[in-house]
Amino acid sequence: MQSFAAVERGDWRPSGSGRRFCARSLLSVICLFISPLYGAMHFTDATDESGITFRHTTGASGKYHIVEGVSAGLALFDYDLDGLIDIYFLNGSHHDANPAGPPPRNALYRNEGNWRFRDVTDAAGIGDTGYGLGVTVGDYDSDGDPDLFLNNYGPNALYRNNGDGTFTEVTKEAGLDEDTQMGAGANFLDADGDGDLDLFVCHYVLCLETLSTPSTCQGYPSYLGPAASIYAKTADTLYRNNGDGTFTDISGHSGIGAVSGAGMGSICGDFDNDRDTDIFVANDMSPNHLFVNDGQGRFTEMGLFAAMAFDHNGEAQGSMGIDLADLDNDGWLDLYITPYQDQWAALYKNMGVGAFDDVTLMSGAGSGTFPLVTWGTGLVDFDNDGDRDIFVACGHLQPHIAKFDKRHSYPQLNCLFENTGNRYREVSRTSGSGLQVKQVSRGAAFDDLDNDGDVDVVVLNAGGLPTLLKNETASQGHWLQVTLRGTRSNRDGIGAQVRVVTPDLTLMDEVHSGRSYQSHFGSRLYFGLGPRTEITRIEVDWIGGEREVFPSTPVDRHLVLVEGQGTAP
Amino acid sequence: MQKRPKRRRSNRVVAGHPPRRPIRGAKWILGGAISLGLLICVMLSLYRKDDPTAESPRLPQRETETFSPPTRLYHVIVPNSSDDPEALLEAQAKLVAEMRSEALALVKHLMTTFPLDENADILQGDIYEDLREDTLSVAAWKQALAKNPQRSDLYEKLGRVAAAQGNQEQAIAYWNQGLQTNANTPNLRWLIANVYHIRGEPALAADLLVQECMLSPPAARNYFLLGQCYRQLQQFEQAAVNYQKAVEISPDYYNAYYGLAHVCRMMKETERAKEALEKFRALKQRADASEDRQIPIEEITQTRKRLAAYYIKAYKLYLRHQKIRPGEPLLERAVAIAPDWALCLEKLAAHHYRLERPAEAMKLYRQAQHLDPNQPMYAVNIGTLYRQLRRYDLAEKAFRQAIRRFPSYSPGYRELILLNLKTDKNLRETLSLAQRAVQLKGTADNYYTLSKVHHVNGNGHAALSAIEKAIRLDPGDLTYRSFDAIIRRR
Repeated sequence: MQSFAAVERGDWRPSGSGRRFCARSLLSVICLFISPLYGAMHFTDATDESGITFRHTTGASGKYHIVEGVSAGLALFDYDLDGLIDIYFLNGSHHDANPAGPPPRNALYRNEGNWRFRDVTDAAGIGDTGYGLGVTVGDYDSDGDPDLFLNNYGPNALYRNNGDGTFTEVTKEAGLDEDTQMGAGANFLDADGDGDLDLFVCHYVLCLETLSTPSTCQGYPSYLGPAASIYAKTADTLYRNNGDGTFTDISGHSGIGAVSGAGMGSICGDFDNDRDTDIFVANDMSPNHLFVNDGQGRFTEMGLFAAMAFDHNGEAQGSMGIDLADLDNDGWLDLYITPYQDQWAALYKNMGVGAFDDVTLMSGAGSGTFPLVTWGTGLVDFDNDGDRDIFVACGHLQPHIAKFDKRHSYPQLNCLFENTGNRYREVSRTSGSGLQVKQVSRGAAFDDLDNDGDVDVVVLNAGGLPTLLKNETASQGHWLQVTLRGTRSNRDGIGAQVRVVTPDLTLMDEVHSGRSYQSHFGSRLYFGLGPRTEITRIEVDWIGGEREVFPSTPVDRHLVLVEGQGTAP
Repeated sequence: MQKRPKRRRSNRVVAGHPPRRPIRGAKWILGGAISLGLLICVMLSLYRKDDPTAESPRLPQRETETFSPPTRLYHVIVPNSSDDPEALLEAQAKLVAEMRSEALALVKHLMTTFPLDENADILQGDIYEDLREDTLSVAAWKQALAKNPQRSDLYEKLGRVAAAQGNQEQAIAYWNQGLQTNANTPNLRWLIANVYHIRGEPALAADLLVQECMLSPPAARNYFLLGQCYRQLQQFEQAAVNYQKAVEISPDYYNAYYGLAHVCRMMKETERAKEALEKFRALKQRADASEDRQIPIEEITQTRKRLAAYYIKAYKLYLRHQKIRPGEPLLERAVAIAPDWALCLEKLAAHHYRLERPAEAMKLYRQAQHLDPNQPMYAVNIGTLYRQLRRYDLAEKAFRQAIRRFPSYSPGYRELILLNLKTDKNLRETLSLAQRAVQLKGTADNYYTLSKVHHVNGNGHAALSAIEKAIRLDPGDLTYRSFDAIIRRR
């Protein structure tokens, strides 16, 4: 057991199993009655006050190229390590070789505190002009600051953080300049447990021919889906970190290149609790892929056998975004997938036997999503009551949908589902003005932007301004935030699992790089505790390392847990 | 596909294809029918009390004018790389708009021609539904209900629109109304159960489905949904039983295999789960590769097909009112709009057959066969037409080709048997052909044919046994009963 200097020990010390059982039962009953008081979630739209002027461009050319409809994600990360989480927006681009005016570019906004953000793109040197789709963050060179990878349509880009508020593009030096396929999600992970971060790059589709006549629907121009014959499925890529700032494509050797799909969102996590990192890819209108890691960085695709390739009817969904978290606090990571219209956003419960169960209908986690096109998503405890709620960003793909189908509209309202303990309840229309914003949303990311203990929301809207949602839920529970610092394992603790143990409840989370819809967030882990004011201990399973146990700690604070060293100052 | 006539005539051979021709001497029969008109109306109205989904009795209609459809053709736009995409889009949109206008003009004509027939309103509602004009489609269907309140099937449509609009309660109310009108209306219990299922109320859904399974003929989708409900209720054994029933009824039902694999795994029946999953994978792959799952890139072809289908439906309305000849331009228009769609050609071929124009029918079946060479029905029907033209050699050749090409399609065998019996040729092989047909599909038709073969061969007992099976399968068919009587007399 490691020393844990900053933590004060609590008074409660159960001495026997019977006593422990009684105390737990009593606390559980109390919490059960108190929990509903933490349910009134409230969000306000803080976009105007934030000073953010970034406007996304889809690059719509009138040719209705498939990429225009699916851009883009965003990243929340503390690029300058000042304790405030900053925002990086991806942008679309023009298809023309010589467009008039300066090309659209990505934008980095520094969090100045009090919901004010400043555009520092130029100063940071990170205004990438590629056609942005996916983004992920990780300290790939283990120098202590977060680096950025962009999965573009066209050449990808790796930006190394110089540690002084600036970035340098090192794509070519890193050996990542070969891939010019249509991008999607991207993730840093330690695939082989060697302590440095490898890179998973997801691909959407291959264009087999130039579409010279755009498709129409009821006479209106429309985007074709990936199942159209002019597109082909393609394999994803896994790069091994060579430990010297370069990467090597190991897709063939690792087994990742053995299957093809139309990848959209991707997430890496320990799906089978065997202490290595697996990879899940949400494929659009083709079976999802679950790449199970053998611990040595070799993967086997097990989506069908794990019952995650298809929905409960055995049909492939138009899967878009994903998030992974322990929704029922049973110690196993569950998965949520957002799909296209006329499908339900699906919740896959981890059964803990190498299989998942699609519990969408019984849990109510997909209710209301059927008529919507859903993208970014987060499994987040917004009211800090000890269980995770669900946010879903929505917006149609077809700009003219309302003209030929009165049941739908291009901009759509986002959705919020409250976890009521045994079932999800849609509370979108009663959760404040922030949920009444109707936009064409794509990426969504979740972090505590104002360090007030609750998780806020940032949404990238296609062709528009982003939306910042300030979490102003009144009756909040207690909370704990944890940042990991690896020393033997990777610096960001990506892939590590953290268990916060209280007398009556154990909450588990894992550090993920790249999630939601082609976005990144959550380098800091958030635990809602409800009425609990005592944490018995914190357990950390480092990837490629040991289980480390940190002793009890007070609540309502942000801890930095350093591998092998206790808390950092 | 044509509905199989109940009464058989000596020249009717392939079940449903080609369709029934008018009875010779129809004028006499028509005269009799007019004098019995009132009686028929009364009988029909009484009949509708038992079968509320039955269509309206043939009420007097306005004088039918021959419809003169437009002659405009809708060609797919083939772009050049130099074409301006915006202009192409505009041209394509214009074509689609013109087709929509033509569909609406057609339905207007039907409403004028058959003002009292609710089927015209139903078609109008269907067209508006395709155009996603919910308000207008609902209004049209309600108008149809006003004309014939017993059409309980319309509640299915009304509920479907309500459900698509997210109004599940309204949808359930419509479907319940349909059941009140006629407790035997197909689909309605399944639809209500499906809403309960997706709302996470599987116990309610299961109750309804159990009822449905008892009241209706076995349907795979009822058992599949029941399996899904039990799966939700964690009653895995019950779920497996129902998935199994679904695949017994419909062996290609990959969704049921998927469910079966899941519940078997939950019950730790690993081998059975693996087997089901493999079956699922193979069937799903085959289904995904099928043509109807391919996403069309351009819309004109699809819209043309939809418009042609409206004309085919309109023709059926004419047919219902015995206006066969005036309906001809409708089918011709369907063919002109979608000349590359075999179904249109088949419908027009059937029309010519009805009017005793085998040569025209033959030409069209040949075209249809060219467009859809994998459809066994066309190959067999060509043979049947040759037989009617008394070109027995060509008929035999056609049937034998059909059997070679589609060895598991039983009508090919049946037609060849009937030809052999008619020409008194190849009688030796007829028995094995008839047995093969029955083996492939144990339908009443095939047992009837087998009975005939036994009868010709002088095997009275076997003939009797076969005809009894035919009668058990289709007790209402008078041909079987009269043949049964003949055998017994002998």
